[in-house]
Amino acid sequence: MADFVVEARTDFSNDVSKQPVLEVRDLVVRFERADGVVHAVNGVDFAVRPGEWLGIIGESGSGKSVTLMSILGLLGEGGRVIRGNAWFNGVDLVQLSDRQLRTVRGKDIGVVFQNLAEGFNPYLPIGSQIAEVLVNHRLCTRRTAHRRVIEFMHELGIADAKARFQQYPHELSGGMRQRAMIASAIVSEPKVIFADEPTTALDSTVQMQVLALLTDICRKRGTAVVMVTHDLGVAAHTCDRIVVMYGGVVMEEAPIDEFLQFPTHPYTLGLRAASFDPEQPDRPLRPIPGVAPVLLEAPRGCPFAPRCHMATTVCRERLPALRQTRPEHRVACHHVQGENEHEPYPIP
Amino acid sequence: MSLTPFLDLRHIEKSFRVRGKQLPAVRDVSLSIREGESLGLVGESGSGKSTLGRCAIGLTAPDAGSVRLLGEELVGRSRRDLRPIWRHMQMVFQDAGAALHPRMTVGRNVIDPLVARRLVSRREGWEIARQLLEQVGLHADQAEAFPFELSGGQQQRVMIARALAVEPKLLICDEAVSALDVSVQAQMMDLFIRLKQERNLSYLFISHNLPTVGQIADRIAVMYLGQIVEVGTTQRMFQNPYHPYSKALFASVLPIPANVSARRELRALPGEMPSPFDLPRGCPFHTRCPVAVDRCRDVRPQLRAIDVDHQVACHLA
Repeated sequence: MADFVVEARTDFSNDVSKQPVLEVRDLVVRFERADGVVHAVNGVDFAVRPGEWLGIIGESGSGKSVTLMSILGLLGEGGRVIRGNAWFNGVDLVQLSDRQLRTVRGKDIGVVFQNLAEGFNPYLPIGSQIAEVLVNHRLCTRRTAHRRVIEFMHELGIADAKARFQQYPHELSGGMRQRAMIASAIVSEPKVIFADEPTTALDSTVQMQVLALLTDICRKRGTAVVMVTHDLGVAAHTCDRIVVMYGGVVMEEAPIDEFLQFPTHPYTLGLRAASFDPEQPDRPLRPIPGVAPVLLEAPRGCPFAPRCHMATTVCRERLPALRQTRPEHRVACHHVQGENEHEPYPIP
Repeated sequence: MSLTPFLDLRHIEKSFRVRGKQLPAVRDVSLSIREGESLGLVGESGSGKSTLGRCAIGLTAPDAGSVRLLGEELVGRSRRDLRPIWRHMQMVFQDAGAALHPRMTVGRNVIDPLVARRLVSRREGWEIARQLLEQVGLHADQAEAFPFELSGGQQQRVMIARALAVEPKLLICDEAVSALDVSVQAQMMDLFIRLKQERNLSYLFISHNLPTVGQIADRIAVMYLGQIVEVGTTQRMFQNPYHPYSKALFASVLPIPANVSARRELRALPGEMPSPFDLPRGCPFHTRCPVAVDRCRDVRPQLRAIDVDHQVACHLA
């Protein structure tokens, strides 16, 4: 396998001529459960430009995965998009029927999920399952698909691709299966890939292999990526722009350099203070107390207020708007004013 | 921290028979933990770290080698003879839900090891359970609850309370927080660190998750294909590991850079870990090592000291 070295990614953040490939507006998603209605996503906006890596970060329960699933129509039992749009190729994906969505899912939008590598059919050779993507979407014949998949597996650094094509999922290592997963997500040359914790379940060095591979291949092909992760280090090293979510709401959004230099929202700062820094292994971590809530009603105030060290009365009563604090930097916090008043907050 | 080893493993070997073939899980491993010290044991799946942990506490009998607790040999003892030892060391596993008795209250679960050994009466035990639950960050009244009423993180806290009931000096934690949600993991690590300080507890902290180990360990040992390739202080291992495998392993923990130009290159280690059924001759890492020389392909390097508190198994060290 080649030694993957990823160069600095192109910075699209100043290029207004690039129209977004995917634009999500005011998305609201709820789940009907036996114990009530869960307000999972409460008005989320974001856009992804061609070739851009957008990182959505937050703890589990923040609504980041649900956001991706709702766009793909994969919410499952009880889940429903209440409001909002997801514009893709001039079409609002939210309005599409399941049958129509099936032509988009896996073809125009590729998916790499944490456990999907385990989702391969154990009774079919891995190669034909990847080729299936092309055949099912009527992109080519089975014979051509076979050839293209082998070429593609080779490009992904899967040694001896021809033999691997015939192997069954259990015969491959976890890293190899995840690589096959990436192959099946990219083989149809989608415009955007949804990657939900793509490396979380993998061993450390395998994680790095998969990450290097994914960044390398997407950069070469100009594929945009929406990556959901809880790992700030991973997001910081791969993404062009970051959206921080909590309680189904966007808390902060900024281009990566801005995000790294001027993290602003108390939740963002909390996530950073709770993250291990390999350059200072002795620095004690400060975990954010409590866990992300299951919202059984729409958040009245800021959803983070119950865990926020800065929360005041206004935070508990009014949902803060996402406001611009610096160029291209938006923050939803009552305690963060306009650009002039911006001051970095003390780490909680 | 005293310098006499609390737990001393010498030349541990352990193979399993799998489908008629020998699977060497631990190959000639020596390791020691000093009193009050936390030793991290890291490695990827199949590196043998869990087997080593089980050998250390006597759950798995090694094929060869010696395990000494405060100078007393444990290898060769029957389970019955090991029982008094378990007052000194206890183990915390990954799956707390499976390890707790579902039909006993949380309180009974916690004190069961004490009551079973008749170290305390049930009534005394109950008070101890309530105190222990508070020490691990639960409410004393949760002693009345049943395990299923608790979250995964709370169940793991109960497991820790139970392990602490016999007042051990050493906790062996095998992926003790890996199954938990990330924010709960952080709170759990807080608890482990607090217990270390309050009780002068030693840990053998086994995990594939380097950030987790980095938070608690004083020293870290790295395993690859059943062998220890490097042992060093936590600071050293994260900042300047020597072994080429450790370098790749620790480089996979990405920091949050100060800005975009401070990003690291994503440099991946090529290839895969060889099958343990078909171990490479010589150094186990030579098949993927960027600096391997002829000798690495023929002779297995021994772990040797290259500095104070720093041992490496590499011919080039």
